Amino acid sequence: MGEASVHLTLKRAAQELGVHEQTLRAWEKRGLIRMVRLPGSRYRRVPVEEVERLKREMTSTQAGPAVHSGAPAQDAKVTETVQAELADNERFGEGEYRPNTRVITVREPSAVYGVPLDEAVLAQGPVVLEREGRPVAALIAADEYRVFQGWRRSRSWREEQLAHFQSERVAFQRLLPELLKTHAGQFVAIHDSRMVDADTNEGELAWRVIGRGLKPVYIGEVRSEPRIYDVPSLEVIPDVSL
Amino acid sequence: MYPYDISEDPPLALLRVQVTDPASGRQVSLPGKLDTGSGISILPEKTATKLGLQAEAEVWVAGYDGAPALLPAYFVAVTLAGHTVTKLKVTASPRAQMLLGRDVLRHFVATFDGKQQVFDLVDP
Repeated sequence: MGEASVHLTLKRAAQELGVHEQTLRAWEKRGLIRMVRLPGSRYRRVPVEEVERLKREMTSTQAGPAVHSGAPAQDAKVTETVQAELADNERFGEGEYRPNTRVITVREPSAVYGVPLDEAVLAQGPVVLEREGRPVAALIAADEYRVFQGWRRSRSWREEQLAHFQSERVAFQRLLPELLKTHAGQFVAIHDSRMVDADTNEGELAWRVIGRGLKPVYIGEVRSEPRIYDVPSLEVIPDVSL
Repeated sequence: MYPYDISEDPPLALLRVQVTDPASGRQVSLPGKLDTGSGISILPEKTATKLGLQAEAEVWVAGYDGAPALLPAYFVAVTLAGHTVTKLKVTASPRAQMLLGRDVLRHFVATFDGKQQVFDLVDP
């Protein structure tokens, strides 16, 4: 077998190990991986046996499918704190992370580390990357991210809807102390920062105001505490596009 | 009488409703779920967007965990079981079906026959 067949390019080695090329360069500087420079070339190559050794070490640090810190096992600077049981991690008790969150503590610039992940790993729970005790990033499964995106999209839509009549809403709050004296128990319509109509029947008031084409308008109930509607039906909608 | 939707477990009282924006006259047809536990009816956000609704009020809504959330509210007309409820205040949330709460059901005599998996809505 020739020389070329037992050495991998940096790019190929990085792919094999599931890390970034920069990670391999950093490992080399720290003496964690042996590389060679081919005669007449300034480019580095990684011996296949080194790649295989690292693969074994990265796997042996875990029991079953799990997240690897990305650094070789003998790297004492990297500590991985795997948290599975609530009782095992007092931070869970403080509500910092949800149960089954895996925490990886890194103590060097994040570019040094590679984190090989697959769907099976993330299905167990999110992975949080910490640096100096502070979370710097979180990895979640793609499905979970889609749910998050749906939630964020919905929240933006809701905020936009409420912002539509913000000035009228502010005017209602400003007028409320006076309205409590004059229109308590009624519904009022605010337009151009002033009350334009009132009624004891909210629907009738809304229909009149809509018929007049007043926009934006805010229809509020004159009471000291806002009414809270009860909707106890639990329904989880993972991702509903707008 | 209307059959329960047995594609869900447990089966639920579901029927077609038509929602109309009184300002534009636009209409959207969608499935509506009867919910005697809900104090207000809820549109899917997607339906509110399709109708081009703009909030005219706001409501605090407390979910199953009791935590209240501030949601936009709209005034629409809802047609179901051959009858139209006008001047109805509804809110919106990210959901697939409309939730028909007691604010709609108060206009009907509702009969639920869980044994036979049928229900009826009659406007006396």
